[in-house]
Amino acid sequence: MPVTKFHPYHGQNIRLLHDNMVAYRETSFAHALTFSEKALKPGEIFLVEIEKNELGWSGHMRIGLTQFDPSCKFELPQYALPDLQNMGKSWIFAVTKSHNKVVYSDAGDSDSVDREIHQSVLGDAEVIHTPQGSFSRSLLLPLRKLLSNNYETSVSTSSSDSALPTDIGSRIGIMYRVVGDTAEMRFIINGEDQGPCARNIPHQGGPLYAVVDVYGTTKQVRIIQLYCEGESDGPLQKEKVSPGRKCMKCRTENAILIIRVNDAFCKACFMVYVTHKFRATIGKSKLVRDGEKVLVAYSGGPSSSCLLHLITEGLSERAHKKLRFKPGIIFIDESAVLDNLIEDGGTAKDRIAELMVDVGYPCQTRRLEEAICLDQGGHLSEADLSSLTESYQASVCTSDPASPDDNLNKARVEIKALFSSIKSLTAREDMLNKLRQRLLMEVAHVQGYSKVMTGHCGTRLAVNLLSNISQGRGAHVAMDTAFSDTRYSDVMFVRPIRDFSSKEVAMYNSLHGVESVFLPTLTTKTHEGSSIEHLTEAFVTGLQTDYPSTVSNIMRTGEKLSTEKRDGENSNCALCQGPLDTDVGASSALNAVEFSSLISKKKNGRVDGCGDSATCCGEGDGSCHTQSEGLKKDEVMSVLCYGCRMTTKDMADPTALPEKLFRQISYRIRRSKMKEDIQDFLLDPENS
Amino acid sequence: MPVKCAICDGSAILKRPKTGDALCKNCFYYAFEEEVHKTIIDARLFTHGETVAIGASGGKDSTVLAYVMKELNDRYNYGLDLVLLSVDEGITGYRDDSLETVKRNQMQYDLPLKIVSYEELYGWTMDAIVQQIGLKNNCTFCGVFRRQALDRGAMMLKVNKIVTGHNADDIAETVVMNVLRGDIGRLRRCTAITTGAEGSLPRCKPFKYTYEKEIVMYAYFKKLDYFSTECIYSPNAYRGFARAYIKDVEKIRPSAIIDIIHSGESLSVKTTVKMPVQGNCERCGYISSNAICKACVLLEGLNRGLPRLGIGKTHKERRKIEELSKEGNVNPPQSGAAERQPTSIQTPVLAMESLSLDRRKPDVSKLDF
Ligand SMILES: [Zn+2]
Ligand SMILES: [Zn+2]
Ligand SMILES: [Zn+2]
Ligand SMILES: [Zn+2]
Repeated sequence: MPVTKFHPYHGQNIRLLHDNMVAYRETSFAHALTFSEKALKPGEIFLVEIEKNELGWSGHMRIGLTQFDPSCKFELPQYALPDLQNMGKSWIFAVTKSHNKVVYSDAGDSDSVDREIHQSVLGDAEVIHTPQGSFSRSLLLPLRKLLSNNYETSVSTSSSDSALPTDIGSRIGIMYRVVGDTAEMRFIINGEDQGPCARNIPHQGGPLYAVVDVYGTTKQVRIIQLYCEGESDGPLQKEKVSPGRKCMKCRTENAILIIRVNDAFCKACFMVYVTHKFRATIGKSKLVRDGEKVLVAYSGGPSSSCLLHLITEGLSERAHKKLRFKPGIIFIDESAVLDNLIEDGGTAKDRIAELMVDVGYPCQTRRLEEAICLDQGGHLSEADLSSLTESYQASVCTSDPASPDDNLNKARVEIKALFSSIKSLTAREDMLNKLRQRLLMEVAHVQGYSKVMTGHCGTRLAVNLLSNISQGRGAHVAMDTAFSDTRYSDVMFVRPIRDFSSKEVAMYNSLHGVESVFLPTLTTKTHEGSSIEHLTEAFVTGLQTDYPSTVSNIMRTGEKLSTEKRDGENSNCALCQGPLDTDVGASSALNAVEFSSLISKKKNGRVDGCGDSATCCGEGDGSCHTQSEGLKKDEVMSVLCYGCRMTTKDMADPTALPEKLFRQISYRIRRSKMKEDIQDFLLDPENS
Repeated sequence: MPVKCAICDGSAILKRPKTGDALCKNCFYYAFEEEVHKTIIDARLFTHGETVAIGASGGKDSTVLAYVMKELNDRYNYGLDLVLLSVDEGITGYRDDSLETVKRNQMQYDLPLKIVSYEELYGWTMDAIVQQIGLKNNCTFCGVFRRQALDRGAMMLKVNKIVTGHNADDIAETVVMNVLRGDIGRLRRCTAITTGAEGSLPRCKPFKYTYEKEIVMYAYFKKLDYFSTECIYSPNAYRGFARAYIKDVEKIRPSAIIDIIHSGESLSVKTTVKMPVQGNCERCGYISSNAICKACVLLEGLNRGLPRLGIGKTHKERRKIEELSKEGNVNPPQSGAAERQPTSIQTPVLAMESLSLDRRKPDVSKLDF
């Protein structure tokens, strides 16, 4: 569809601006009739936004349909109401502050108005389909409402609806649809179909043009493009902003970015919008205290680079309200588990180290294998502590592979063995995520950081949420996607850019010249269906393109779920520390799936899949326990959550987990056995 | 070298989609049936002496369900009176064949059969509805009316429970779909094995943990006859996406279907989130989170010549119809074809006030500028 414009023939007080997409009444309150350039087709919505108001007048914009063709240059009356209406072939209504619902009544018998119940022509889907094309429902809403959705917490929903249809920013549409032999006309005000306001329009009698009388207080209106081409939600729509287009917010600067179709922000206003969003997310959580040590996880990727830049800006002296926490930056080198792909990530890692140093805060590079590096207690050992001292030099000296640190070298071998023992890419990815999280937590713990900030944007979190659901981690999705994750006792994970879309991140980075560094992941160069996470990413981002509210819908699901942490040492998974979700009744998926694997095995005798394994103990009941302190597979499973069970099931031998992880598991098992033994003597069952 | 059956050492002829185990035909039947039995027992779905209606569509799920229910009822002495219950929507060429299948099943399984038609229940056939509203939204009608039709038919038969053939794939798909839509109310409810509030008939899903592929496999080897019942009217877009996604995830990890159901079962909703309260429809008594259920709203629209009424979720329409219903002027859904003409209804004064009419021509001279 071409761009929708006003007809060049209009009332004498009107001046058309911006390529005939804006109508401005220069003086008076009258002689301000405008028309659509082309006749409307059935179902086509002609949408305008009130851009300017002028006080001192009574009455507001009028809108409707007419069969007078403006190309015929007929003599224009002063007003749409009543003059144009009186000329016939015109159906016009005034937009009022309220009460825009119009009841259609047949002339005459006013006592027996046939009160019809109308169905919104808009349906309830996020994407509205009309014969001329489809567009996002959000386009019908005033920008103010859209912004308030982003800024406000989900709890307080009041006051955002208080705007009047006649206010600046209000979006008013007109359309007709064919009902039988005639047509009925409808108003759509700020996303709401007001119902039929005129019926029996003889649409076959001649083309119907939209009429807008820029009357009374209404001073300037702009046509909102619902059908312009290239509407698909590409990564960046920078190019699509037409020259001369003004910013939606300040209305003076030229627009550079479209945050949703047809809502264009200029550079300055976009910055304000993004920075505000970032600050508001941190601010409303009331969790980050002044002077608090915060470990910022940096991967080199666009989202964490964006986060790092936002933090640096927020901490700088020029910031409007300076952020007051103390950041330290950490990069985790995951090459130990990626080396099947490439070893030449060297230059990228050097660049990451340089970028970290440039920021000017304490920074460090750690190796993923440190997550399983042996230690004495539950955390990094004293010996490792020296290597963990912060540095402004991005020193990686102690974790250099050439280092004499035997433990670390051993860990590197061990972690490679671990990953090659995991059969599926899905489980490998899951294990990597859990180990990364664990290392961040331990470094933060040892170095006295009470928070870890990660650069997960909304798009990423939506992917994670659905991917978690598909891996049986439903009990963890709320914790995994909320602003704060409190599963560890003394380190809290926070996600300050969770309200950003990946598109906003990309635009922010490009406007600020934020550099991001590409490092391969486990699924780099693999096909779409190589892992559940990879598949889910393709699925969600693909759906987002056609249904722009997909990501926000998924995030909305997460927000309504409980993140409550359960207390007690046995209520969390020994591997991922998420709530243990395996204490379920007989009628449950877990029970059913366990039964399935039992029932289709031999009732006595050897289990297949066990016999062909070199490590099989010959027990034949699937409980190979030739290794690791004699722990049985079942025992290991018993302290893991459903999702971690799925991951360990993909290992050749679940009891071959790294010793460090295993120690905690066996500790847990010993504890619960102890508890079982003394169960009868414990007075308070809650006192565990 | 022939693959050995994991259970009996005989020669295996299939690999279980759910577990990957190689099994012979008989051991597969055994595993399949035992799992359904376990589901029934664990969830305590039935009590001795109950009459249970099997929702029979002639499709694979319900055909296998009828067969297995009959089998288990005899084998484990559930003591249930089973009846087949079928709904005839009146879709040309769709049910005609499947009803034949149901009728054949009735004879094969020796179970009584009751067929209720839309015409009987609502005064409208699906074909007539499609004529009214076009192809676009009919799945709304189809689904809503079908759910109710089964209940109404079941009530006629005076049964205690209904069982339906919803399988694990269906439930996993519904979980994903509700995540995509952000519909927390449905998300929480959709994994329940038994649904139905007080006053309405409980519906159970004995196939909750049964894979669709295994149902097909079971029907295939048992040579059970079914009619492929993809609704000919296009399904909800999100459901289609969810379905495609589930199929892809299942390829990566076959347990994913059960994993998703586990996820659904272990979601806990924030206590601060308001959940729709399930009640019963004022008009027909069917379970509904609104005073008037969806079917009654849709039907009202049809009968008034406004068939799109109630297709959206706008609560306004519902409220209006509730108002109207209080006036006592609205036809109950049982009214049928005879009363299809829209009736003239007095406008409630209160509603009139909020709907100010701006059609009067303003007297411009009286306006002060
Ligand atoms: Zn601006
Ligand atoms: Zn876990
Ligand atoms: Zn066998
Ligand atoms: Zn009802």
